[in-house]
Amino acid sequence: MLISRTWLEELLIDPQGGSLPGDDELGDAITSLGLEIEATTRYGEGLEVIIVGEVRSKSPHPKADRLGVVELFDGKETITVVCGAPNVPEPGGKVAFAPVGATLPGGLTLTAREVRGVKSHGMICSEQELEIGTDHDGILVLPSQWSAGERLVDLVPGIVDTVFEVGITPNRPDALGHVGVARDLAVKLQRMLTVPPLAEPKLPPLPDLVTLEAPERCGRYYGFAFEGAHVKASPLATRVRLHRLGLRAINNVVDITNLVLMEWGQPLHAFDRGKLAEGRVVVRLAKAAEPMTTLDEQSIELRDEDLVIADAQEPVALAGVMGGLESGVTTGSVALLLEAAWFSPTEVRRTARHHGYQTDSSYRFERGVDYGPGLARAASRALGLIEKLTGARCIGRQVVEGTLPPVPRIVLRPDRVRMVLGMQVEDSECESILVGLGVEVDASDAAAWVCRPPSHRPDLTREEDLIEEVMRIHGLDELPAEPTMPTAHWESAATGLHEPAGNLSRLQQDDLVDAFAAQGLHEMVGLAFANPEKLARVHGADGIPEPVALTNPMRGGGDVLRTHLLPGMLDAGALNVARHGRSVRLFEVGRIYRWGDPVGGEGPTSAIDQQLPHEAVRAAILLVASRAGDDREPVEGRAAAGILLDALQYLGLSGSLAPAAPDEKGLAHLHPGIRATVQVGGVQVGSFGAVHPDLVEAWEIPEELAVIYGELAVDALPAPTPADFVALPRFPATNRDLSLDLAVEIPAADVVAALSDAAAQTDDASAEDPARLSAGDRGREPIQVVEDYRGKGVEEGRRALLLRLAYRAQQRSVTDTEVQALHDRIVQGALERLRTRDAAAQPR
Amino acid sequence: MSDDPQNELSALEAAFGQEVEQAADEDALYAVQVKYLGKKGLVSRMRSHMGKLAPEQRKSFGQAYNKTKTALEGVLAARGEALAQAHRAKRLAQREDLTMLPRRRSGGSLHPITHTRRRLEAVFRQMGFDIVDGPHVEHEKYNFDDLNIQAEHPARDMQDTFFTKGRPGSDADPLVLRTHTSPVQIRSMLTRRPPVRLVAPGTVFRRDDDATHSPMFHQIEGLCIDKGVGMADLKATLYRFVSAFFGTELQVRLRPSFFPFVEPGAEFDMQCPFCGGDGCSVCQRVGWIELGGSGMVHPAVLEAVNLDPEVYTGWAFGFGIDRMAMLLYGVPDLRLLFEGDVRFLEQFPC
Repeated sequence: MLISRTWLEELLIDPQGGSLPGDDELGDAITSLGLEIEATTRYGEGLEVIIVGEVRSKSPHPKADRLGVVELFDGKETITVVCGAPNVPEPGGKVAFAPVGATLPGGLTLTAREVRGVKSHGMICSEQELEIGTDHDGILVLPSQWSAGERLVDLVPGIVDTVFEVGITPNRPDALGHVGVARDLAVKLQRMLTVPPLAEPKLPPLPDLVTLEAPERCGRYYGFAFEGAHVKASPLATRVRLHRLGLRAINNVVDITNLVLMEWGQPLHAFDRGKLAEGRVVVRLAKAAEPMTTLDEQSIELRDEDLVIADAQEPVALAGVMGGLESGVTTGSVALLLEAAWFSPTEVRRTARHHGYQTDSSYRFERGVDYGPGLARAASRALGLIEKLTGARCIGRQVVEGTLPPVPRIVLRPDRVRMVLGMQVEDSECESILVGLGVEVDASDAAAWVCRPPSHRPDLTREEDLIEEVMRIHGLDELPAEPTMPTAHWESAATGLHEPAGNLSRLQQDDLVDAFAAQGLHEMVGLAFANPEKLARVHGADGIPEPVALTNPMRGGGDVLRTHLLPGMLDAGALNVARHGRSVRLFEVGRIYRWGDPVGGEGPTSAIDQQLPHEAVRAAILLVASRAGDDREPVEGRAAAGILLDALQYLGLSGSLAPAAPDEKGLAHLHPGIRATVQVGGVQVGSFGAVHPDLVEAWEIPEELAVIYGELAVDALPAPTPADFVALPRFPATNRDLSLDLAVEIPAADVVAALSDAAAQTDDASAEDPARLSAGDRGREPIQVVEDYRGKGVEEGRRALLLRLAYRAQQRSVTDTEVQALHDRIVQGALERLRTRDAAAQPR
Repeated sequence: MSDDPQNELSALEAAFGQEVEQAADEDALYAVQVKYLGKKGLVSRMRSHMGKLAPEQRKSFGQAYNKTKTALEGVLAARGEALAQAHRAKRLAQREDLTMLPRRRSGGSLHPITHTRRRLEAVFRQMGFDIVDGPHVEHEKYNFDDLNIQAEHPARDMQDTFFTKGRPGSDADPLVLRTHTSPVQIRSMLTRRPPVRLVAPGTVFRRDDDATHSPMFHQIEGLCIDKGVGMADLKATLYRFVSAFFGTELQVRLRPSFFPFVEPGAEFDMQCPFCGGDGCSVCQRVGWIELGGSGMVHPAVLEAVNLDPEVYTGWAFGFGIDRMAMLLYGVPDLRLLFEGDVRFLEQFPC
């Protein structure tokens, strides 16, 4: 909403005769009322020197067809000016003259200069050159009764103005007009609100002028009939005022409705009564599929729930939204019908939204305009202006009433004002603030006042609303920053660390994030939106698991919520490769979304939360090798394994690796031969491997770069428990290396598992005999895979796997002989297991 | 070997002196020590002569033996000390240029939003606030209706909302991507009784995309419900929070404004932490930085969660974590936060 300073000045009179504070201070005052100033623009600087010039003679330029030479009287002397405009008036006519030395708003400073041999001493200006209008087809022709030499700014005060752009929140429809803003300021600045004089003619009733058939949708409708209107351009002052407020001048009747709109915030509509069948209007619901063409030449099909203004035959306006094309006021209109009405806000909004309109009119109606005195005043104001500016005569009126909103009766307790605000505001100040804002206050019960808000404030419905009014005017500057509440809330703080994802507390989720960062990865935050085609690629044959689709996605921003973290990470990976080619080590801990298995737990929201999609937390890593090949550590699948296992260990979870079955679900994004799973306690919690070559190609990452992805299902992780302390070994371990000749298809994890199984059988892990010799110290010293050798000396299709086992007894030294005996038994046991899959498995 | 054991002692002493001089390091010296002074060393063995001597000779030999042994130990210690000194001097003579390109483990980083969120959480946790979050896909009831943002009211347009299509085959009400963290207020008040004191950091969504708006961003919401809580408590909390967060005393100011779920409502500004309120480029020379919205929880919201506004009052505030992060680190464009360029991310080491 644009608010003009000069207009406020007209509405706010200081009883002591002072002027309004300066622009900055005035702006601060407006902002302090909750009407936030978003921008301030000053207009008309330098235009003080523009004066009225009288044309004395005009003749063609001797050397240029399109130019003319004008002799102009500036009040003192006659000046020669060269002018190219086609509409220079005949001698005696008045124009806006910028003398030599004037600086126009565009920044041009005028000098006397020769135009094709004729010296021009200044410039005759158009509206656009003075920035007081948009017309640039010709010069601005002024009323001929104005005297040469007078300053334009004295004749048209609105030329020099400051315009505030004010952000009006939806609760303040009254502030969508200058009167509303001035009303607040009057109370704040202790001034008198002075509205323009209102016409109050005695008008004969015209009972047939308006028929109300939908009383529940239209609370009040004033219709005024006029005759003898001369529709033409508005006076300059009106045009300038509208221009300053961003409105286009159209004709005097339309301009009056706009002027009243900007003054009272009340949308009005003027019909050409001559074009209304039977010269009357009916406020009714449209018939289903009834057609209509609105003022902006849109053809719409009405619904039987749309409220229209119709003439005796067909709709002529979409009530509260936009007028019809045919019935609008144009230059030829003589008979007029002026509408001032209150329509039901909700319904105006529904209709406007359905048909895709947001007009100055619907914007105000849907927020709720004044149905009481303000409506009547706006109507009177327009009536007076129409009679004055168009020469029309109002021949009668009709008022009909439907259902109006109830006037709330609000009990306000001054003590509660002070409690809620935490400020000492005296009763007398509360009362004068409320009364100043138009609230009726009955303070006969000093502890509980009965208040009735004015009809222009539909937002005031309960006690807190009135408390806010007191706060707005009283101001918050002296609000103390003093807590009165207890400073400790144990009941609530006790649960402070528990906002779980699965079994992990909020702090443990933070730990997981730290665990990745500590390993040299960079945390990214990807958008929750995803492109379904990209998701389809990543899920492959598994298909996208019931994604949550958006009704109104951003253009190009992803139509569904992500069901996987990989597409976003690949986007980032590809972006980095394209931009700089350095190695990429990214991780993200974030949510994925799909329908099914709602998360709703216990408690009062659980039933309704059954309707929500499942939101799962995933932790994912993406490694892309550097294009320059200068990675400090090799980028390979095993690096991902290390990162994932270390992250689990950081949480206090012991993870292990397991091969992925060829038909394993959910791994379609990984290379079928370079992938594996991560398990905790025998339960699969994650996977990793090389990104599937098809995806690498689809994301246009060069084939020679290793692209490794791994993820953990955070909510599938078991609750970490504090690690059990293990007594430090007092006796040294004895290591035994084992080299096995194996088929390459047998994963190392299976070999380790076979050895562990065999060890568990030969050496009862549950026996806690401290003197007992065991392999791997009962699992505390894992079996290590030292080397995987293929090549010379090893047959094609086979590998030489070097493993290392540690043997130890807790409370004694062990001998080589007993270690060798146990080692042989374990190796034998493991080979028996492995030979079921590879008959040729043997020690090398 | 001489018959006179005392002469023999003298000879050994001389030989010992020579060998000690020749010992080039501590190991060699130790070998000499063992050779002469070990249990079966050449000098130690001389003690066995005692038994063969006449009693009158024993005393003088004994004295000579002890004197020699003490002398030898002295020589040994002196040589040992000299060798140790020489060794130390040699070690100290080592030279290495440590200002060469340092060897570093490539460090990881936390996202600036994570850094900022944790710092916020730490401050509020210390102030006794609970930390909670909720679902991103939310019921319209919790995102709007229960927060006093009624259907068909223009206030609903204040935030440009993403709507989800319903689950295929289900007739459940359509859902929204939460436009603010405020639904957590509702969820929290439904599941816990006053006094309530919590902050809710989290991801939120609005249909908006430019240098200062992203369709996904992060907010933190504060909520306090108790008996007798007023605006002064709100201001006190905000004042304590901004001062703790920036580590310097910063004033806050409230300006009346409108948010449907609070009444009275106010925007809150903090004194610019970069210039202390004197005016700088960050605060556009006004000395204040607009942070977010706040106010007293609207009685209609309390009623929606079955709390009696006559008994309880409360306040709430909310502001953008991303904006705070941009402010903290001087990041000019919000979009940098979400594209994952490592050259950006690595600037925020953990």
